[in-house]
Amino acid sequence: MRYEIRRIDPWRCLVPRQGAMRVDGLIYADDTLLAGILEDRAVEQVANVAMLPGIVGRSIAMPDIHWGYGFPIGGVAAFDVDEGVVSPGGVGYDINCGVRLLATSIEHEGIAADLPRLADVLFRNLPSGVGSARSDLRIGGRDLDDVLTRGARWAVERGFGEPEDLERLEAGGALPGADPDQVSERARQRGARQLGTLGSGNHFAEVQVVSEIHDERAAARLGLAPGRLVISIHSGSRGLGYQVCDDFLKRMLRAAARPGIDLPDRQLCCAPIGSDEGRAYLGAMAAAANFAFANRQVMAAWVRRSFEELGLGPDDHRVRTVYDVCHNIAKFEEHEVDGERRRLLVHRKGATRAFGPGHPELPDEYRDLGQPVLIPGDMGRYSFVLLGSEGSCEAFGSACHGAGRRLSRAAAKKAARGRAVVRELEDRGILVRAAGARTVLEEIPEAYKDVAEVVDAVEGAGLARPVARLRPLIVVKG
Amino acid sequence: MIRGKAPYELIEHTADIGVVVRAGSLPELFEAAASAMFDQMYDVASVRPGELEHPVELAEPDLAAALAAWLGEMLSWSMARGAAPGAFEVAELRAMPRLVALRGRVLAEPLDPERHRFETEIKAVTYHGIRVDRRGNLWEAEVIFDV
Repeated sequence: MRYEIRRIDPWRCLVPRQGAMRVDGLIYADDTLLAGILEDRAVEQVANVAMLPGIVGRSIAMPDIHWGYGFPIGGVAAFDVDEGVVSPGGVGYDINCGVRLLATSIEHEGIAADLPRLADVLFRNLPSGVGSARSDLRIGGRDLDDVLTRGARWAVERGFGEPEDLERLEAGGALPGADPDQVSERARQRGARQLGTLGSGNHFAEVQVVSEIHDERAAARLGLAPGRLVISIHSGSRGLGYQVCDDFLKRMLRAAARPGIDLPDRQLCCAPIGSDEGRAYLGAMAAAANFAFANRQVMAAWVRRSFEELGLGPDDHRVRTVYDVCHNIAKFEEHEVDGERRRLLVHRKGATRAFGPGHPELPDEYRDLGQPVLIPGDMGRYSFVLLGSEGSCEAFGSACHGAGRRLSRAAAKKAARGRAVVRELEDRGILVRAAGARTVLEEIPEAYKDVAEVVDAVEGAGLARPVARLRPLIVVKG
Repeated sequence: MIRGKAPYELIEHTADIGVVVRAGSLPELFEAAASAMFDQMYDVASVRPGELEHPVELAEPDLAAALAAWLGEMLSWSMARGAAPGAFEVAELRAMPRLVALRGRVLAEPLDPERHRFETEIKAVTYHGIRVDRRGNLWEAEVIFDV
């Protein structure tokens, strides 16, 4: 079905309520981005989400939206806690997939000659690729229950990182309400050897240099200075999270024949928030999210150790966590809707929380600035650090999560045929270490939209504002 | 039983990977879909199956749900076990109104990322647009994987 779309202003388009939609859709995009969005079935998916019971406000799409399964990638949907639903597909398989940004005091110029060695050390210390596992960190039983309940704090107590890291993680690195008993044995088996691993696909660790500053005062507060190295880690809950999502999709599909829930796509299956399945999923999802927080915490500690293997001590590298965001998650939050404060369950699938200045959930040191929003681009161009703005209220305190794919994986491989992609990137000063050759072809820079265009749209719409631009130097991929 | 590769078509999907498979019977269709799924992850023809075996038994309300469950069970078992499946057998598939029952097995060997030329991890089998239907003399299935 083709949906009517009306432009509201240069950065916003409305998908007016039509057919079985319960609310309007809102797409943040300028004309150029919208043209790309209309090429696949993402708008249909925005409309499908608008059909779910208890949805509040609008079914929202970020400028990096693209066709997903069920919910679009780049979607935000908030549900009333009494009348609304929770949908595992609205969170995604990779529960709490997210980004961690580490700042350092290392000047690019001073370390340029050692970058190939750093790339090798990071590739060894951050296992990547299909089924990647750690031989040095196998957890199970009660230990795994601790990870699932305590998240990043578990890792810090085991010597992975510093207590002050926790203050700079979304939700302090642990979602409340985790229920390890709802995580199946199979999910536990899949996660047992994967804590501290990157995985494959679009997951990565990048060493980047701060190449441009958009707001000097804010950048200094975040510890970002031009010419210094930073590290971004993009990963999630690995096999444990994928299995939790799969288990609950199956369970909710079996219970799907509920009065009042008519699904336009099986992948949208959901359960009332207060139902047994809904509560069980939220407990399992929080547990998987905590596994992801611990995963990124362990890898951040391995980044520190990697610098130390190169002979740089803590005073030489001064690796410091800037922030850590989730971009596949459902969270209970308070938002103002039509002048009324309401407690909602906000699903962000391929969208980042972007609370503006003064929000009580932000750490003290950043509260007056707004929340750091970490937006990876493609591996050949740049990534961005933004700060959440007051205007993000309109999107339930959210912004985009990345560049968004432009080409399918098959089309990207076709575009890369006959090219030495790793060599091309090396010629541009970017060292690639990857577990799989095909991943590199599927992830070529032109497979993605230009993330600068996405960030322009986010800034234009008043959701967040750019602080710094980061240029990749080393890319470790699955 | 299908050993190694079966023919399939790739579907263009912006973020993920999809396949279309065709076969003369439902058991063959399910076996071919399994081979196509694992072939996205590694070279399924390079597997010497036999050392590991996993039985699959399921009952689902319709053919599409049965296909998702059959593929999902093999994927999840192989990832938890560190196995590379290379042969797929659906010994029995009974499709009744509101109930599809399947009994089958998968043969595998321990995963060897180099020899099996591992490439892309499939996170899960999605239900998005999944279908199993009859087209002329053939059965056809379409499924999208999250990668």
